Amino acid sequence: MNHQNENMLDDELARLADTLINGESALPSAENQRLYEISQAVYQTINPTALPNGAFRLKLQKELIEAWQEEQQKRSSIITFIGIPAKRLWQGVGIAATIIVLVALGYLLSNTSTPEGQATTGTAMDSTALPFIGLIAIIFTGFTVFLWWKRRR
Amino acid sequence: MAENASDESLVHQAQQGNQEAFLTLYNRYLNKVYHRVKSRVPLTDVEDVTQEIFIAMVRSIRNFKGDSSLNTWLYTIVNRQIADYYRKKNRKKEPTIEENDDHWDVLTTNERSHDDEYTEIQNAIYHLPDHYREVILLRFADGLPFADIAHQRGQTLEATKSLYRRAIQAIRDMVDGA
Repeated sequence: MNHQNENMLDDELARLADTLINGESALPSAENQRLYEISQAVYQTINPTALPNGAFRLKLQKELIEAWQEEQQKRSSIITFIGIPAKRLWQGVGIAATIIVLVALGYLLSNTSTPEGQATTGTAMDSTALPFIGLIAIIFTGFTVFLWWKRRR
Repeated sequence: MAENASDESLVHQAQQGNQEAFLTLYNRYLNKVYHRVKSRVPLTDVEDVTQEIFIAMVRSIRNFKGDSSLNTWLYTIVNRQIADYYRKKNRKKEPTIEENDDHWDVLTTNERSHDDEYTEIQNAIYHLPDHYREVILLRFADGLPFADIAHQRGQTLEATKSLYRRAIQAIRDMVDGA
């Protein structure tokens, strides 16, 4: 079969598909007869005129609303008593943690510096600094654990 | 909510948490998704699978980046959920008449014959290569004219019509056992 003939048959079958969708009758050529029958069967199987029924639509819509609300709660996870979205809160916590670590490091380094020419032995630290840093670490850890727990719920 | 808002606009609003925008998308795509599922899943399970698809859409719409059209993205979910459905059922060759119809025993001869053909065609559609199945579903399930399908696929109209014919021939070969 030559190329032109193939194109004509392609065109015809496509036109026949259009007539099926439009609910019109058609008379296919002998070459396309069987393919037209198959097209009809395919169209009837897909049957786009048979829409999902109203009860199913409503039931699914209800399910989706529930799933949507559940998802919104899970994702946005607003910390209500602070009123800050979780994403921003986590960003804030990250920045605060970095600052605390840097301040603590700076504090430690400034207290471990020794006069020029003297050897450094061990870690010299102002004894009043330890409870202060410990307290900050405990508060920060507690707050982080609380947020983590809140997010998981 | 404007029913005629674009998909992109509705997706954007849904990603911001607008439930109404999501429901508008749901109403817009329900029939198309339903028909796609119906062409590949036994009738008794069509509603369940359709439901799973939209629940998956709820869960992942925030991840939709807009790299492709919503259509394409959603049909990826459809394909994945249908594959999951068959994986769960542990059935590779789907569907079969015996498994398919719980009501088989009470069908009349005519109904059996119709169901038989339905299942046979469904089976064939299920086993078609993706590009063949897609052109058939775009024309019959989505109602897109061949010119639009050609545009969507980045093909000439002639190439699309030829693809459609080859897809129907492939189904014929499966049905007629060629």
